[in-house]
Amino acid sequence: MRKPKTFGEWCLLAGGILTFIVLLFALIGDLIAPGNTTSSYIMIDGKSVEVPPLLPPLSRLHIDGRTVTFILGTDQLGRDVFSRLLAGARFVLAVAFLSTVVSTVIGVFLGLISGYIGGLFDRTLSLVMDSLYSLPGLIVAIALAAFLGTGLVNMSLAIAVAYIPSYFRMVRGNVLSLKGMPFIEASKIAGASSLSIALRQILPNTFPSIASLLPITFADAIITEAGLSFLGLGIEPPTPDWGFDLNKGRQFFLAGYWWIGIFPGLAIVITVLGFLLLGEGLNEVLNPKRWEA
Amino acid sequence: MTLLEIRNLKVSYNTRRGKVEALSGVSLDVKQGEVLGVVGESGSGKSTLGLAIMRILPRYSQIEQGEIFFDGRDILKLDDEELREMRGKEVSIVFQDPYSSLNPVRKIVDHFIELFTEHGYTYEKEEIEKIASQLLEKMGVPPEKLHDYPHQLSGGQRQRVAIALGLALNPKLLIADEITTALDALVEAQIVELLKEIKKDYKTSIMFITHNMGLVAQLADRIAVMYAGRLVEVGKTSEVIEKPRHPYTRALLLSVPRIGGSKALQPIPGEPPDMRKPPSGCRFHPRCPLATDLCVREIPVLRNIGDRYVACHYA
Amino acid sequence: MSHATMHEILRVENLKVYFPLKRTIEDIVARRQRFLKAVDNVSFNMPEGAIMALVGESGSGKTTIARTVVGLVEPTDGHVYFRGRDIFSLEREEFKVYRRKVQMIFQDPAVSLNPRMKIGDQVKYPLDVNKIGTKEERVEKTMKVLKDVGLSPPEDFYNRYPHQLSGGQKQRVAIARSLVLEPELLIADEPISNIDVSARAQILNLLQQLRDRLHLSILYITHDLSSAWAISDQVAVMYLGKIVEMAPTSEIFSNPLHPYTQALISAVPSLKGFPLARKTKLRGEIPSPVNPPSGCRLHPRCPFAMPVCREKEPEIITLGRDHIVACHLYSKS
Repeated sequence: MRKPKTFGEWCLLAGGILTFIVLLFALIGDLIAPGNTTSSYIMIDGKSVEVPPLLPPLSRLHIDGRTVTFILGTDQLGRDVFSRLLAGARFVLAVAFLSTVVSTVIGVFLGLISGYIGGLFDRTLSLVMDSLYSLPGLIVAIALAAFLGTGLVNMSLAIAVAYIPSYFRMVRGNVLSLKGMPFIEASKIAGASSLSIALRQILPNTFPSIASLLPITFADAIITEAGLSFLGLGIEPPTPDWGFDLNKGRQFFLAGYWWIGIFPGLAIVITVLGFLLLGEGLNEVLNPKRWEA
Repeated sequence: MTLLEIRNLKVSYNTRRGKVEALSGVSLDVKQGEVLGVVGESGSGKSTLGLAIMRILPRYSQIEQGEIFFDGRDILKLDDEELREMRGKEVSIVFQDPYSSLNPVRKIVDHFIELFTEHGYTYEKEEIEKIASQLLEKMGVPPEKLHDYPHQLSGGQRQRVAIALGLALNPKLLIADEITTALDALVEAQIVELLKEIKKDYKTSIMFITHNMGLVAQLADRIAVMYAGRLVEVGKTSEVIEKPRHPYTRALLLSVPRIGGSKALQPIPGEPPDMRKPPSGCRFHPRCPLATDLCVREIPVLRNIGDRYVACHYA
Repeated sequence: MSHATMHEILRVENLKVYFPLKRTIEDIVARRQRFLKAVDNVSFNMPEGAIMALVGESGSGKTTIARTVVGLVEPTDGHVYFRGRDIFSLEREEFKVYRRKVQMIFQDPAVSLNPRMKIGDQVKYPLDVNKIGTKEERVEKTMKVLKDVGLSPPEDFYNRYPHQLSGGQKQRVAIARSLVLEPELLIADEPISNIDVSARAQILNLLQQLRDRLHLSILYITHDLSSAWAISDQVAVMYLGKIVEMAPTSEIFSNPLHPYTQALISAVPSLKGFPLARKTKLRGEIPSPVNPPSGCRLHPRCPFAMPVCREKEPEIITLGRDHIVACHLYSKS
C-alpha cells in the first residue's frame, strides 16, 4: 500500500484507522472490559464486591490482595466507565448499523422504482420524501421513538426513517439521469423487462453514490442515537450507551466529576469523525473531482 | 515572417494513475497570414496545443518544458496581467461548443461590450454596437441578432458570433479548435467559406485544429499532422495530401471514405495508444507496416526532407 | 439486381410521427395543439440483404424513423411492415419475437454501454433476458460474437469494462451485443460519428462483412455522405421530416436531382472532389422543425425556387430506375 497522495486518500486512511479501532472495541469490548458495566458490583473470585461510585480515573481498588484498576474511573453508580465505553460502542454501532441498513434498503428500493416508473406515483412519493427530508432528523426520530418505544430495534427503526429520504433522493436522481441513456434503450430493444433493467442495468450504476453516502448517514445515525438516548428516549437503563452517559455525566460535571461525561462524549466525537473521514475519502476515490483529469 | 514559434513543448496532465504526457516535445511555427491545419485524432494532443498557446490549460496540468514565442515574446513567461491583455487581443480561440464562448444569460451585444471594456478600449456603447453590427454582417449573421440571447440563435449563428468575437480586436492569430465538428454538413461548408474570406480580408493567421483532412485541404496552406503527442509530418497541404511521407499520414488518408474514391476502405490496424503508457520509440510502431526494431528503440526526430518535415526512420 | 426478385424486409408506408409540443398560453387560448412533425409522410422499402442509407442533417427525422422501426417510438399514423407484417398491430408475444429480429446500435459508444457491467455480461444480457439456451451456451455464443466483431481473444475482452476500451472497440462491443440475438435487420444510428477517424473504416468494413456473411440487412443512418457512398446500396435523403430523393447509391451520386441532395454533395469537404455538374449552394440554415415552411420545405433556401414551391408540396415522382424525387422542377406539368 502506498502513501496517500490526495486529500481524499488521507481521509480514507485516517477514517479507516479510526473506524477500525471503534469496530474492534465494539466487537471484542466485552472480552477486554475488565469491570462492571451494568451493575454496581464487581466479581472477584466469585465474590461480588461493591464498587465505590465516583472514583476518578486510574483509581485502584485493593481487595483481598487483588488490584483492580479503573482506568477511566467509575460513574455515579460505581460502574466502570471504561467498560461502559467499550460496551456502549457495541450498542451504538448496532443501532447505527441497523438503522443504516433499513434506511438504505427502503430508500434505494423506493428511489429506484419511483425514478423508473415516473408519473404520478413518482411525483407523489417525491413530495412525501421531500417533506420528510425537510424535517430535522432528530425531530423525526424523537417523534417515532416516542411512538415506537424503547429497545434496540425500535430505536433503529425510528432513526432509519429519518435517512430514507436521503437515499431516495440520490438514487432517484441517478435513475432519472440514467433512464434516457442509450444502453438502457438497448436493453429495451433486446426485450428486457422493466424489472430486469432496473435491477441489472440501473442499480449497479447507483452503487458509487450509495457507497459514498453510507458512512455519512452511519455517522449521522450515531449522533441521532446519542441525541435520543441523551434525551432518555429509546434505551432502557442500565444498557450502556454513550449518549445516555453523556447526559448523566453532564449533571455531575459541575460538581467536578468530569470523567463520567467527557469520555462518552469523546467517544462519540471520535467515532463520528472516523466515519465521516471514511465517507469523505470514499467519495473522493469513487467520484474523483475536478482537480484531476 | 514567423508569428508563432513553439519550441520543444512538453505538457502533461495529472491523473489518478500518474502523469499523462499530452505533448511530448512539439516544435512548430506559424507564419504571419497563413492558415496552418493541425490534424490529429483523440490523444494526439492537438487541442492541448491550442490551450497551451492561449495559456488556458486546466489546473491539473503543467507545462513541463519548452518555449512559445509569440511575436517575439516568450509567452510562457508572461504574468497574469500580460496574459489577460494577450488573450482576445493578440491571440483568440474558438471552441467546438459554441456555448463555451457565449454566456447564455447575456445578450450578444453585451459580449462585445465586455470584450472591448476588458481590454481597455474606451469606446462608447453605440460605437461598439456599430463595430459589432458590421462584424456580424461580415460573418453572415443578421445584425438584429445583436440584441438576442445565445439560445435564440442557431448553432451555426452562434459559431459565427464566436468567430466574430474572436476577430473583433483584430488578433494576429486565431485558433479554431474543431469549430465545425458539432455543426451540420451544410453549415460546416458555410463556415469553411467564411474562414476562406477571413483569410483573404483580415490576413489573420489561423491555426485550424481538426480531425477532418478534407477541411484542411480546403483551407490550410500548411498542414501539421500529430499522433500521440508528437508531430509526425509538417508540410505544404497540397503536397502532403498528394504525397504523404509518414506512414500515419498515408494510412489516415487511405482510411477515410471519399466519394468517387475506392470503396475498399483500409482501416489502420490496432488501436490508438494508451497515453498513460505510450509505446516506446516511435509511438506509431505497433500499427505501422514499416516498423522495425529501430522504430521500437529510437524516437524518430522531426527532420527536414526536401520541403517537408517528417518524423520517421524510413521516410 | 431488380428489386422484384428480392424479398422486401422492411416497408415503411406513409409514416407520420408527430410529437405534441408543450402548450403555450396562446395555444390554450386558441384551443390548439401544435406538433413537432418529426416524420411527415415517409414511405420507402428496403430489400433483404441491402444496406440502405438514410441521410440528413439535424431535424430531418432520420433518427425518429430509426427509433420507430425498432419500436421505441409509436407512429402517429402510417405503417411499418417487417416481412409483410405490420409491427404495430402485433400481439405482445409476437412483438417480442419481432424485437429479437431488429436490433440497433447507437451513435455514442461511451453511453451505449453500461459503465458498470463487464463487456461479456452486457453482450450476453439479451440472451439472459430472452432466456435463450443454457448458461454455458449463452457464454459460448457471447464469445463467438465477440470474435466475429474482431475482439479477440474473446476471453480477454469478456472480463473487461468499457472504460478500458477505445472508442472503436466500444462500438464493436455494441455491435456484438446487437448480433447476439441473430437479428435480421440492424439499425445503425450514426455509428461512426463519435469514433476516431482511423477507426471508422474498421466499423464500416465490419458492417459490410456482417451483411455479406450473415445476410444482415442494415438501415444506416448518417449525416456523412462519404460513408454512405462507401457502404450503402441505396440512399434516401431526408429534409425536415420528408424524403426528398431516393435512389441506388451510384445513381444518386452521379445524378443527384434534388437541390438539397446536390447541396449536400457539394458541401462534402473532399480532397479531390467528386465531379459534379454544378456546385449547388443553399441560402441560410435549417429552419426549426416546429415551424416548417409551407409548400416545399426547402423553398426559402432553394436557389431554384419557383412560385409553386411556396404553395404546393411537391409530389413524389419516379424517374428512371428506382430513382424518386420530390421536387417541382421535375413535375410533369
